[in-house]
Amino acid sequence: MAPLPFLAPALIALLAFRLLPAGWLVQQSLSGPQGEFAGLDNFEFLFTAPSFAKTLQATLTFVAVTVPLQTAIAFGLALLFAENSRILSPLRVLVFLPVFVPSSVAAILWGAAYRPQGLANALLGSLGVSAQPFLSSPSQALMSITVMASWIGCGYWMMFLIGGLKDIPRDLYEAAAIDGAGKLSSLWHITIPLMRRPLAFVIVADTVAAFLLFAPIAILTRGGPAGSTQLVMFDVYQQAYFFNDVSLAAAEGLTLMVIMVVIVLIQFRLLSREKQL
Amino acid sequence: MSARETSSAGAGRIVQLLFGIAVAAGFLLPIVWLVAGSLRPGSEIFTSLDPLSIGTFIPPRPTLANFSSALGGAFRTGLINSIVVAASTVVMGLFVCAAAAFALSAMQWRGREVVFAMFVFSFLIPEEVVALPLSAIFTRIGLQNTYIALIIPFVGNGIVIFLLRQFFLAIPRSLIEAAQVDGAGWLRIFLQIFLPLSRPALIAAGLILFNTQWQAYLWPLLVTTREDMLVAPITLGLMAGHYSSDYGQIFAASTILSLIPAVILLGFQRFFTDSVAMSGVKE
Repeated sequence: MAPLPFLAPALIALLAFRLLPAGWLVQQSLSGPQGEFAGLDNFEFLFTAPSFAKTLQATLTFVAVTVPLQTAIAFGLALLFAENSRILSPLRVLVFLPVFVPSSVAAILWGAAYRPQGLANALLGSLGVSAQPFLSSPSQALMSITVMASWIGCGYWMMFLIGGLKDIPRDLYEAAAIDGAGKLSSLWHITIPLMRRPLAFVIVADTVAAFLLFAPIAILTRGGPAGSTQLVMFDVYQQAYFFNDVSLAAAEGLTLMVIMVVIVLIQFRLLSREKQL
Repeated sequence: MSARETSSAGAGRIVQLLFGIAVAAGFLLPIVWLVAGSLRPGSEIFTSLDPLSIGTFIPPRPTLANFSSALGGAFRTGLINSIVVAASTVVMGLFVCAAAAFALSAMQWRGREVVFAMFVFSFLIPEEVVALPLSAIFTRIGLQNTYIALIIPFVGNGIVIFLLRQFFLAIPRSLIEAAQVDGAGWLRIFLQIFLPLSRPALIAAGLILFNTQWQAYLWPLLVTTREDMLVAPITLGLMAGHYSSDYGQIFAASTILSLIPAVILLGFQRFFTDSVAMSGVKE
């Protein structure tokens, strides 16, 4: 077999670091504390626990707010910055700059900005808005995390959407302009339909990223205040490391994976069905 | 075009530019605050915000003291670990992924497409989801607190294999056939034809491998406990977690941690945007 020596290292990596632990995850999720087979007990416990309902609610809220928000802003940014010009190109780099900031750094920077005497309140104060509690308020903490995540995310997704915009043939716009179509009408009838593929990609990839958000929660809020930022990835980590319940953590990790796959499949279906219209 | 239409197009253009400048400034502001804070005594970071002024974002008496104190402490060990781990990941990852991509593109064999599909789907399992069981395995076989544990899970990367394969498929088969006529084996074809021809794709792939490792937080948190094995993001998290945190040092460490990927990625910007386009949207 000639290909085997070339394939072997990656194949081993695939087996050892993806498939084997994934199998172990499934096995653990079906086991009791002594490693005995426990059927679906862990899942039953999970789905009847009020704490998991709260975690799930916080996570789904976070995803449902963050993904549309980031996609819309990234699309707006792409329209604004797609063109290469002496002024717009450097500005585009500035918008992209936060992507280089590692998520741990972003968490710490925004944590400092959200402090009572931090940058965020200083800016609001200069606009005449009273000081906000941000991360220390159960009603604002999750939204504050969304804003932080969007600061990194929007510039990143913008780059994909600019790639898509550049693939739209220019003569379509010229033809539409000759027919008397305005800017808005070409946006609606040409840009958005032809951007369906890149937009679908961004929505799906952003959904996955939002479900897996971990570092900012671990560094900034640790799920608080009052469980308002207890997102599922952090909850899994906490189950395993602070409550030492590996089976429950495995069941929860698997549940996260299944929910994520189902939502991504629904998105794919909806987005590809629209395409046929 | 009439004179009025031209002037309204010109006005629209100016509005677009002004709006673009405002948006870019908004995105930049936290970074300016970070860099400014790293260059001033830690005690001034929050006091300089009241009232907001130019001095908030441009320190009147910049000093590098925060950088020397950050690099004198635990953060230096973390930074060195991060650099070693990221560099090793890039080198090893490029070989592993390029070899696999080569077998999945240049060589023709039965079942190739099935194996490729298996690769793509398996690597779609998020690293975060398998991190917990994987770290338990690593602990059990005694690999906790080793460079190997930090590096090898990031060496095989589905996106990188996919990207390199796309590039390899575009290399003309006649080159392979000509080399085979000259008696070259697969290893020589790989090392002397495919790798040299694929420099842009390899750079893009290297950037993805680097960035994935540089961003990693959960995995290093799970497999390292000893202080001398911590990577920089973890050290930074610990610095910020202390009650009596020195924000000057924290901001300096944060600046270093962001500057390194910014310099590397901006230096290769063209390749990076290509990789973004290749890995995601285009077929």
